[in-house]
Amino acid sequence: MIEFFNVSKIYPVNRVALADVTVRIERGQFVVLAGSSGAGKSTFLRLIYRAAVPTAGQIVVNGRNLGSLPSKKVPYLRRTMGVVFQDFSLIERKTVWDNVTFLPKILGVDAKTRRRLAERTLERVGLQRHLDSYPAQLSGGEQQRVAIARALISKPDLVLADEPTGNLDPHLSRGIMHLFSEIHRQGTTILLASHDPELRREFGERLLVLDEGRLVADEELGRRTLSTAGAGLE
Amino acid sequence: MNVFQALGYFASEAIGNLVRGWRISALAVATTALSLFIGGVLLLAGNNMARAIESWRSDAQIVVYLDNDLTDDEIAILTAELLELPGVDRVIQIGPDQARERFRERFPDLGEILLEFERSPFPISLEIEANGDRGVIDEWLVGVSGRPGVSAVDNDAEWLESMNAVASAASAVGLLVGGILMVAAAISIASVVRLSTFVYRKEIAAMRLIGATEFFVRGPFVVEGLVQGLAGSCLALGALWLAFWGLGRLDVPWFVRDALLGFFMTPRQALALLALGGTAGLVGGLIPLRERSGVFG
Repeated sequence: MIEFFNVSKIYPVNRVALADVTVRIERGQFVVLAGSSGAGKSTFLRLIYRAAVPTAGQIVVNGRNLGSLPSKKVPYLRRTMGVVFQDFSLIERKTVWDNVTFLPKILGVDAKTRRRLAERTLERVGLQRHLDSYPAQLSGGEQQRVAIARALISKPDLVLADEPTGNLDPHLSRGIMHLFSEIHRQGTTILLASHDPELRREFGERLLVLDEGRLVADEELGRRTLSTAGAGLE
Repeated sequence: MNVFQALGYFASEAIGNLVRGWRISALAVATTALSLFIGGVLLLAGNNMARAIESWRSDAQIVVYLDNDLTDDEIAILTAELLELPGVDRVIQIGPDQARERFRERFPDLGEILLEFERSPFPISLEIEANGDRGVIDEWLVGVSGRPGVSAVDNDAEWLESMNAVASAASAVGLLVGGILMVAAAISIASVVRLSTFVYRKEIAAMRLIGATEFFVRGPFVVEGLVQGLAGSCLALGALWLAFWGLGRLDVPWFVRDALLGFFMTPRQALALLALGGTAGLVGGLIPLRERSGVFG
């Protein structure tokens, strides 16, 4: 489903974010990206939703080579995946309802279907009682649930999450991870960057470890599939 | 989402942005309104002067003053020459006594002055009624002015041409000043929209991440500029009408009334003014969206 072929990403001033990464992620997996700050986790995700382009190598998502994807087609690629961030990235002046239904709205989904989709999705994340609240009126955990609901409303095959629990306390973090786990059980591929060793071991199905841009470990839970030094692990 | 739904969405987002940042938006609207008002005043002045000149042109006279010792045959030759010119409808000979009577009728208070003269002090004159192209007549008048027996030529068309030049200059200055001010208005609107894109930069990023196309991300900002431009032009149109109406109620000399307050704009001109404001707004809305250094760079 997601394939990286010798992918490198070098930012200006020769800062290497990813170096010669080759990896294949199958449909339906729950993959956790690990590594210290600056290891390349966010860049890995950014390359998948085409917020960045690789300096070298090829990335194929669902059979589509992202290198040959015109800029104008990027929004259509992003609609096939849900993206969740540490800072929630919600539209502050819009209600929970408006945030969650924004994509269906601009896609021209009729109001009745929008309502059905939103109610179902918000119920799934446990926010059906906060439809008219603004993000600032919600806790961090609730805001992240809104972001997850927004990512799920278009029923994507793939959810990318960049440190989704980074701004949350341990209790809320576990709640969010349970939610991802639940989403994964229903067949969605999850690719989640996390620096929390406990959470990733408890919820992850496969662990990719990055260190200074290099893929240094690729483990099935409890079963190492690519033997490496594991440098940079927390 | 079809085009109308998209436009509705853009309009609601744009109006929301304008309401939230109404102080800074009001500045851009005021700049646009002032620009269009000044341009509109000059346009009105140019239009009214042109109309007044046309109306005065129909009353314009061409008079050839002759020496009183010219014989009837010599006057008849001149008259025949004039009647042969294309555009000349009629030539009326006014004798000295007839001229004196006219003077008394037109200026009764000055009639006593004429009592000092035993004979009429006025010369014989030929009044020419013409229509259409006066080019040939004007040429003939230039030639005849130096002929023996012709003391003077009075051609109203000359000063009307001067007035016409002033009207054209007013229109040209109006266009130039209006153009410069419209650029200023567009820049002012662009500044407000640029500020708006900066304020909402996180939302813009969020919208892009969930798959919104640039059409949906940029649309509200373009409409924001358009709304500001249209609001400015509506304000300018209202202010122009109020000024026109207010000045019309004042006691002003007839030539000022004719030259400046004869007619307000035609509906087409008013629509053009609105369109001009809308265009300035549209351009102002598009500028920040195309800047490489901005949020959309």
